[in-house]
Amino acid sequence: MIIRLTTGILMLLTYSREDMQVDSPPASSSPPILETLPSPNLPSQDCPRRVRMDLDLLILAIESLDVAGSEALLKVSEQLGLQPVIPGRVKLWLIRSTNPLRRQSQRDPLTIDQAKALTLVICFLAKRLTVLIRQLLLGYQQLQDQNLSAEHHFRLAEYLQRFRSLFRARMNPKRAGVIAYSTDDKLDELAIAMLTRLLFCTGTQGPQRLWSSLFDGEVV
Amino acid sequence: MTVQRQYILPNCNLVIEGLLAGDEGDPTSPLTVVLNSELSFPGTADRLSGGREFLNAIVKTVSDYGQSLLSGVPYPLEENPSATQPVTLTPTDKHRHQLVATIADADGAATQKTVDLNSVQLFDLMEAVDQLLADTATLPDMSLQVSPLNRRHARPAEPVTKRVIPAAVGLSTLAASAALLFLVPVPEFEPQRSDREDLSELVETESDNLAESDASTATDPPTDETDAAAPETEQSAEVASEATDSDPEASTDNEVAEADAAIVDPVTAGIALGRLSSAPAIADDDLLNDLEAELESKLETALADLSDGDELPFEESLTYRVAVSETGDILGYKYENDAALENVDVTPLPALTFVPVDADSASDERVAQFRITFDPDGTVIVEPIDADAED
Repeated sequence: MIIRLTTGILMLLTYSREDMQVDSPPASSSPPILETLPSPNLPSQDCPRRVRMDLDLLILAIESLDVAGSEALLKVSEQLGLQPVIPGRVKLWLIRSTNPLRRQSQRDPLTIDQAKALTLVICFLAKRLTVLIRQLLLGYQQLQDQNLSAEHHFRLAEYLQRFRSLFRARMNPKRAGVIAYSTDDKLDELAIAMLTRLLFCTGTQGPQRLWSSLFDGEVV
Repeated sequence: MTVQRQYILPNCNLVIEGLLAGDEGDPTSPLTVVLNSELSFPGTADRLSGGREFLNAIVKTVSDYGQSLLSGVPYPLEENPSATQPVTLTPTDKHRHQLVATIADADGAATQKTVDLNSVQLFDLMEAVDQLLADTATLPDMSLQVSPLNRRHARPAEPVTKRVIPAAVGLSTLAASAALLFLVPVPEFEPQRSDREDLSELVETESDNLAESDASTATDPPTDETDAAAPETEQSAEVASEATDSDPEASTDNEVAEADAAIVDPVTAGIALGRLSSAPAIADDDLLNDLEAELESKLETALADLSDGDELPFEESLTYRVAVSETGDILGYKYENDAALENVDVTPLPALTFVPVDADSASDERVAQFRITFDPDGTVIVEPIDADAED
């Protein structure tokens, strides 16, 4: 009787152990591509507020440049093997909603791995859009030199208009950080600043530079 | 063998001339010595050239400036070219950037050259530098060195004066409201004499009486009985009388056990009141009226029975306070004038007072308080005691 009981318990134990092995992913689950970016020396484990804002706004700029930007984002994350970090549309939305300016802002933290994944995807997409980004920035420079408004450049006006409407649709107008961009001019400035940042992401060392810049003034 | 490495971008060309290391025949081996490095910007006539020192300065300045553009956090960069940092980059208006470089001529004289760059040109310059850094076949000793700026370089989101304003407004509001509230008089607290306080006062006075009346009870019946009894019973009787003296519960039991225990002395009444010190008051007006009427009729009947048609033995009005339970039982009483104390035995109160078995335990029964007055002509006036009206 006792022997039977003990064998039963042993079997149970082995079953549960097997179950655990199946259920839980291996310990080193983060995709190897994330290792290319060094982990910053942060005072806390989660990403600071500015990182969460900047990453979401850069993606917003990509979406304003490319109508299919969010779709492309999912595809690229799949190509880069980042599926363990960004498994799907909902998770991507949740990660982006860690931006405190959003209407449906999540209190969940943004992990370093998620931030790394977004950084890599942003740089990859920015590289694809290099030609457009350069055109828009050169066009903007010419308009500035001639003191003309952005309406004289069709693509640029389209980009700015899309950026403004996406920003207003998604950001919580009651937040102080959003109130600062209440006028079209302020939002256009932000859109151009994001475009310039995207240009600097397209370079050879784009991911390293963007990643490092995100934590400027945050590390200890 | 002298070789050239070129990094060609739409708006910026970087050409490095140097000597090959190691195998002369292998064109991919890295450079050992940089003879000349030249920056040119197609579309403009600007050309900057210099040796290894110039190249190092360009790499450092462009890399840091690019990072500060990306993050928006200003890097500690020098504004003007110096001996240690011959190349500087500063932002100018309209999203432009000014590159200033100190370059030594062929004669050895140093001249300053200024190049205005727009964002795309600056990016191409940075990209040329990045490609050089990433190229292990040119200068493997140089590599990209970017690391996030420390916290102390973080620029506050708003200038100090702007950040101080909300705190100052808050503090001054607090001070102003404190000053205003100081002028408002402190509200006077009128202690409301609760029923509970009344009762505890009753108890105190009654326990004073307790000491006096003890003397009289000590000389009571038990001693008569023990005269004829054996020594053992004498002893036990002593214990009993001791108990009567000291233990109020024992005395209560004694009294209740006796046949003529109908008359309750002030001692037991006081004990009964002790139970009521924590009793809540009855607040229901209808019930109070009922109790008042009931009490009045009960007392008048009892008083008439006691006097039995004769004149009442007191000339003065006797005033007592009584506590009455919800069912109409008199739970305790207290004299309010001296005549009332002297003549308590001729009133029906001691007989009517309900003495509980466990007199020690506090009662949580609800009680009502009345002031009753026995007039010498046999009438009884009952009026409720309003706790608020007292004092």
